[in-house]
Amino acid sequence: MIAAPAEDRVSESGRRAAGVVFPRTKFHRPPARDEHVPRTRLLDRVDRSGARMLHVTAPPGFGKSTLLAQWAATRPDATRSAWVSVDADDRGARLWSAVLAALHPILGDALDAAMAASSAHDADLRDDVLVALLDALSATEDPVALVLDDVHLVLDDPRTRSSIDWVLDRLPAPHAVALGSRRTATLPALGRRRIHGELFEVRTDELRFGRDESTAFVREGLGLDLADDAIAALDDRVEGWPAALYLAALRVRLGEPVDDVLGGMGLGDEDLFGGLADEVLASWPPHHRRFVREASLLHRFTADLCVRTFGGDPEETRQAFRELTRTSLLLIPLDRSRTWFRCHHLLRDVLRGRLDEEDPDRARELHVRAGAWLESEGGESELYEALEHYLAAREWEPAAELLATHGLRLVGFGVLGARARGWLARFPAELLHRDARLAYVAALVAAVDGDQAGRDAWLAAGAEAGWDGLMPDGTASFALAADALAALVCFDDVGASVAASARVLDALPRAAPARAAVEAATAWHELLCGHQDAAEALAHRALAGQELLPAVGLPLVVPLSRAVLALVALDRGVIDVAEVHVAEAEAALQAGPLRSAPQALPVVAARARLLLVHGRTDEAAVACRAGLEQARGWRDPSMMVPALLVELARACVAGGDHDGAADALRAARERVDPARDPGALRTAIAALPIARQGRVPGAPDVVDLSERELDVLRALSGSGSLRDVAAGLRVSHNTVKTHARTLYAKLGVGSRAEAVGRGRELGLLGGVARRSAPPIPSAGDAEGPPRVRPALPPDRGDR
Amino acid sequence: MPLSDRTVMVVEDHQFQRLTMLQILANLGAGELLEAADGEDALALVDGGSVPDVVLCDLDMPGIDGVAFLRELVARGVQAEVVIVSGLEGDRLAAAEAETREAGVLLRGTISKPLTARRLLSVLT
Repeated sequence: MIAAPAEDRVSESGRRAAGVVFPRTKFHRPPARDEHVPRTRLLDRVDRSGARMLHVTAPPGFGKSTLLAQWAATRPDATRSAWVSVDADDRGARLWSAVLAALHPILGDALDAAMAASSAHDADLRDDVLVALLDALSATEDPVALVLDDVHLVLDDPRTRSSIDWVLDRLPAPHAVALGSRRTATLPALGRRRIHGELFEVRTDELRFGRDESTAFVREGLGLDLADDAIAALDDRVEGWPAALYLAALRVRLGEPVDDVLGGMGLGDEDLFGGLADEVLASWPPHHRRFVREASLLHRFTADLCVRTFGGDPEETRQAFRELTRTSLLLIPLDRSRTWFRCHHLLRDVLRGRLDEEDPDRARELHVRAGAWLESEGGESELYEALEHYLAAREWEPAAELLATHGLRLVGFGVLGARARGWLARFPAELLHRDARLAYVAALVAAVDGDQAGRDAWLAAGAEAGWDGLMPDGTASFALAADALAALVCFDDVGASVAASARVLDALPRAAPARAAVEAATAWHELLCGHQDAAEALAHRALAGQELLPAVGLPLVVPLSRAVLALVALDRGVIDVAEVHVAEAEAALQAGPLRSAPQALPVVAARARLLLVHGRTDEAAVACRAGLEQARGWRDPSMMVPALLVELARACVAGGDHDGAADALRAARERVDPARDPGALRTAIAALPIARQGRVPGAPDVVDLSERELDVLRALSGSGSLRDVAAGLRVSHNTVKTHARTLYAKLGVGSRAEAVGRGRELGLLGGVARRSAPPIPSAGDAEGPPRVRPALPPDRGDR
Repeated sequence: MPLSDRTVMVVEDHQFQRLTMLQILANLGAGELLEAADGEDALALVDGGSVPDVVLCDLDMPGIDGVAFLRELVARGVQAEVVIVSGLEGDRLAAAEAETREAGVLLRGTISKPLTARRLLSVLT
């Protein structure tokens, strides 16, 4: 179940795809800086080549990103360039979520299909997401450019690698892709593009500054008035490596003779750079040195983050931040407002390695302090960065606390899948079993995954580990949190979930975010049991509960509750009320993150039943099949798939598609038969007229008709017209027609004569009475004609 | 008065953080919850008749800062218990606490961020 802040989602829509959220800075093209030397010559060559693919390969510090940024900025329409700074965990679908988020501001609605596919639970990355992405690009005539910087970070993952290769092979004209990488990406697609003259490759040697560029860089970029021979000597020594030239020139600027600078240089790249960096740092004031050394531990930083992380004198830190970000090429701005920065990668790697080695205690302390700031001052993406810091420091306590505090919310963000399993895997295995908070998160991950055994095992481990008092999110106890998990998903035992729910609802405060989720889930479970009144009451409470806590939306609560209310209304023949609920459920789904998620299958079931009642049997079957397709491969934790299969069977029977009905029922049985307690699903399956589809002899043969429907059936067995029947039952003509349609659907027949025949066959009309389905409580039955309730106001319960 | 009978106001400019606090409070069973993105919003709520029994307040906010807001609260005669939830440390936090007390605020306690349910409950009860 979900607890996601609706407003956050709005503000993050541009950088969110498939429920994955990224820091905004990930999509910012590095801004141009005064010190940057325009790589005009290289860019002209790229332009003249006519190639649509650019591959820039070089070690750090050669200006790959700068070249790519200049390439993107000088394209015919620079606003149609998308930038992704690839991170090491952007593997598989996550990489393409980032690409979609980056392209979205350019392509807009054209990406809808790809975005929907990327958020679908069981979407195939290639067949669904990437095909839709290429379709969107094919449909766009104006050229779009995509830059994937630091792509080497993910190329060792075979799946990611092959997905990139696949897209590069098929990228439609006139669009362009540029890759920045520390190593050559040996992708077959690039080989093919090369053969066709569509690939332009820039390697280290081409990125080395020529003498004129070195001179321009030193004199104009750095403002150093060095003599030609001094520049020439430095340039020869660093061989046109811009980052090293920068460091060497800085030392000269500090007054060191050029010969001394040259004499002290190391040989290998790391040595050379590390040595140069040391010398430069040695010349800096201590507060600058300390700043860069400690900032090297941060993935990215703001002034405030540094102040909080470093401790000590805040003014000194702020001063160092101001001075260094203004003057140093070693701190790279990540946004145009110059709020976020990062250390130059090469410097960061050198300094971070040293800090870890020389002062591991301080490194750990910095990680924890940075994590605390990110966790308490940031949003969702900063929360993940905080967790990374805690895990890097092997500080399990704050990491466990963070995960358990935000666990339920993370479900709503859609990250409790592979990513959460990755986080849990980084804790020592024995700690997962010893710490009830972590066991709870592991159980939550399993529950969301549809892994019943996993959920039960982790809950048992947590109970065994024990936990005293409040859980980190404020839930009163581990037992209560565990019960909530048992209540939220029923797997194969509806009764157990309903029982757990009773305990949870007794103990959870009225505004607790889990409460409405448990109410909505239990409404569904009660409906599975055939308890319409209880289901209806719970669904209403779940919707009302949404209003208790301002601005907190629980994405599944509204659609699921509305679907339950619609199905109850349909059972009672109150069609107009059902219509309102189905419309509200679908609107809530469209507006939320579950648009194409299988968790919303009950909404499909309600829509299909409504279509069926209106006699649109084919459309009902199509809707069911689309829903089932959506759920393909999904591990259904709450018997939503068999419930929808029953709807499909009803639609097929009503449409005369007996084979379809038999298939649907067989599939439903496969899921329901082994279940410990499937509620009334077995009865509902048995109630369908399956004799014609090879019913097993001796199988129960029951139909869950309401009393009112039985009345109608009995009246239909007489000779009067429908109007006569209506008059006899003291209801309107339309109401009888509605009852008749529901009745036909339940009996799997298409006409009055067939209904009567089938009713006799089932003993519903005075023959061998076999009505063993549980009586379905219905207000309409008890109070005479079905009530037509006023439509709910549109804003009710949808927060 | 038990927490369930108390109206708690959360004043915090960062929405994600505000929601985290509200969710923890809801799980703790706090009575009515009020939220404000800054001091001015909070005062507008009070002026509109939503008077809290407990105020959870960040110190570092845009517009009027936490201390100034709390002073305004006292000036309006609101006798709410106040819990400062802040990322500040050391002297700066101590100075803010002292200033708040001098202003006549009923300072119940201070929690350094990140806020946890246990710390919050121990301050509130």
